[in-house]
Order: sequence, then C-alpha cells, then structure tokens
Amino acid sequence: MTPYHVSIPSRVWKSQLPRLLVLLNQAEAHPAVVIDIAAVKFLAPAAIVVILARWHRWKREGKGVSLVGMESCENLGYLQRIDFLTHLGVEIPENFIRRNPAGRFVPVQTLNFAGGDVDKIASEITRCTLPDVDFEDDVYRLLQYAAGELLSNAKYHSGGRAFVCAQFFPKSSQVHIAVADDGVGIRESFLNTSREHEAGTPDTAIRLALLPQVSSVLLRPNPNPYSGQNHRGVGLSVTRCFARKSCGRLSIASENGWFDEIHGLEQTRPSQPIYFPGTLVAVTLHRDHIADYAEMHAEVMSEIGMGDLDTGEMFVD
Amino acid sequence: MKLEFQMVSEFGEFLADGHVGNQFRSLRIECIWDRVESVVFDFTGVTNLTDSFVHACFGNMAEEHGEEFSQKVRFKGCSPLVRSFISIAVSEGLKKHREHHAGH
Repeated sequence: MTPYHVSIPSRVWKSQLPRLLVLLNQAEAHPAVVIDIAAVKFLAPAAIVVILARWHRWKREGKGVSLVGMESCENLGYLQRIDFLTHLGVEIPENFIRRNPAGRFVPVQTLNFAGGDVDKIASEITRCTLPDVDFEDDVYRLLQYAAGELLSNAKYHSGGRAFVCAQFFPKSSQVHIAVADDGVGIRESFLNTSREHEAGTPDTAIRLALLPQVSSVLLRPNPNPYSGQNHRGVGLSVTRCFARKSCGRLSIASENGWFDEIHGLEQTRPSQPIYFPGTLVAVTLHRDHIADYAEMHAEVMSEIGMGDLDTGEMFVD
Repeated sequence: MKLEFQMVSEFGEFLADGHVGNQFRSLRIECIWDRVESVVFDFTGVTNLTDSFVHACFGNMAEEHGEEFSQKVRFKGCSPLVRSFISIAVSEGLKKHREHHAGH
C-alpha cells in the first residue's frame, strides 16, 4: 500500500499553524505516512514541535513513518542545526560546522514525566534565546518563567513526551517559545478530577485550563498534603497575562480545541477542522513591551484575584 | 529542632518545577513538621522562580498549617522579586486555611 504523502509547506509561521495541523491530520487514517520536507524554507518553533510530537505519536501507534525530500530541502542545514532531524531519528552527514546557536535559536529539547529537568531546560532556552541579556534583566526572567511554566505543564499533565523549541527574531523583537506533546490532551487530563464535569469539550477544557487556580492535579477532593496536592494552576493564566501585557500571542491546540489570542484579543477560530492529539502551547513575547517583570507579575496576580496579605514579619534579612 | 535550607544549594538559581517543590515540602518538611520548632528558607542566590514552585511548596504549606506556619517559618535573603512571589503564595495559602477553618 502506498504511504500517505504529507508535503510540509515552504514556510510555516505561527499564523499558518492551523493549515499544518490539518495537513498532518489528513494522514491520521493511513497506516503509513511519508513526511516530505523538500519545499521547506522556514518552520516556526511551533511548527517544528508539532511535527515532532505527531511523528512520535504515529511511531508509538505502530504507523510506518518516513522522511523524504532532504536532498532538495534548501534549509536542511537549519533543520539539522535545530536538531529537528535528530529527534525524528534521521541521521545524515552534516555538511557544516556546528557553531554556538546562542542568540538565534534553541535546538529542540525533550522531556517527560520520567525525565527532563524543567529548571535546567527552561534556563538553557532562555540563555540560548537571549544570550546578550543579563539574567537579572526583566525580559530574561519573564522568558525563563514562561518556559518553566509551560514545561512543568507538559511534564506533569500530558502523560506523554514533550518537545520544546524557541527562537528570537531580532527584526520584530519577538521571542517565540513552543511546547508540543504526544500525550493525552487537556480535556483528558481533567478526567478523574473535581473539574471533570466542566471540561466538556476540548474547547471548554482549554478555557478551563486558562482559568486561574484550576489545575487537573490540585483540585481533587481532600488533597493529601503528603502526596497528590501539587500547585494552584496559575502558571498558564499568568503566562497568558504576560503575553497580553507584552503585546504578544498565546496559541493552544488540543484535540479539536483551539485558542488563539493576539494582544489580548481572541482570534476567530480557523474554518478548517483542526485536530492535534496531545497539546500544543505556543507563546510569543514582545521584548520591547516588557518593562518591570516584578511589577508585571504583581499586577497579574492581583488581576487574577490573588492578593497580597501582610506577610512582612516572615521575611528577615 | 531548628531547620535551615539554602534554596540555591537545594535547587539552583531558578526554582521552576512545581512537582519538585511539592516533593521537597512533603519529604523534607511535612513529615517532621510537628517536631520542627522553626524553619528558615534562605533564598540568597535565587534569581527567579515560577508560581508552580512557590505555590506547591509554600502556598500549600501555609494552607496546611495556617497561623503555625506564620510562627515557625522565616524567609531570608530574598530579592524584591522572590519576596513578592513568596508573599503572594503564602497570603493565598493563609487565606485558604482561614476559609477551610471558618466556623470550626
């Protein structure tokens, strides 16, 4: 039987993600798939992690998956440098010398519940994306925060393997970070929790996950302080507010659920029938619009209703 | 028993992983809480953290122990940013403790 052929478009920016998701999903029913990268000139971080997560899910399900078009791909070097091919399990000779990618892109990294140090990967991503920025700089700490929260979510809620990729675009002064996993999806992660009945559809589950103090781990009845109780589920809400405040963008895809917000305005749902098993979260932060990180964080927490009591006596010099 | 933890030695400069924060709370603090007279968390050298970590570790601890938490726990060497994160998480935990115990 002839494998189903998926030609990856020439350029996939974040706004073309729905089209990529549709293309990949058309291969779902076929027992064998060929991914063709011959035309590829640019893939945004979100596109890279989406393809990787889908590829690994197919492999896990026993689907035959192969990659073609490498010899014609103008941007093969970039795909090799960013370790896209390595994570597909495709090893071909590299006709270039690997240089430090700092300041341009972050090679793809992976983690799952069993492995992957969230703190370390988030810090590496930040250092690599913003090498000229001091670690005490507001932009640096904000990106480190967002990466840490997205990776934590993927590690503990997806039940699968997550791929993360980031890139800084100097001309537009934007930092893109994307995490996609081949796990259970947001709606499924709410099953067997006290919020199960609210998760409903993939769309409502995404919106539920964006609410502050909602977590598919914490709010189980009678949480035991020695085991299950984890965190308050504010990471994604805060990251969303940070994206808004930096005139950025937050996009989430999980099953046929879709959420896309630019500058705080939710975008119209694409007309195509999107489907992504697992979860994709992609954040764009606008470096020029990040001022005081500590102040932004305090503002955001106040906006989501988490006030600050007088705890002064607990702090000593 | 008096405890003091150097957070940078325990976790590094960036405290991000909520699960790790929860494990630390459960395995290093909660299991001996009744025998602990005071506990100091020294944040010297910690440059950044996430809400996942700080709420899993300190928010939950404050929620569990309420006033006893305020009496036993002290935070040292906090930058204004770290202090702000901790303060919000602890406030939220104490608030929840009061809600749980209101009318008891």
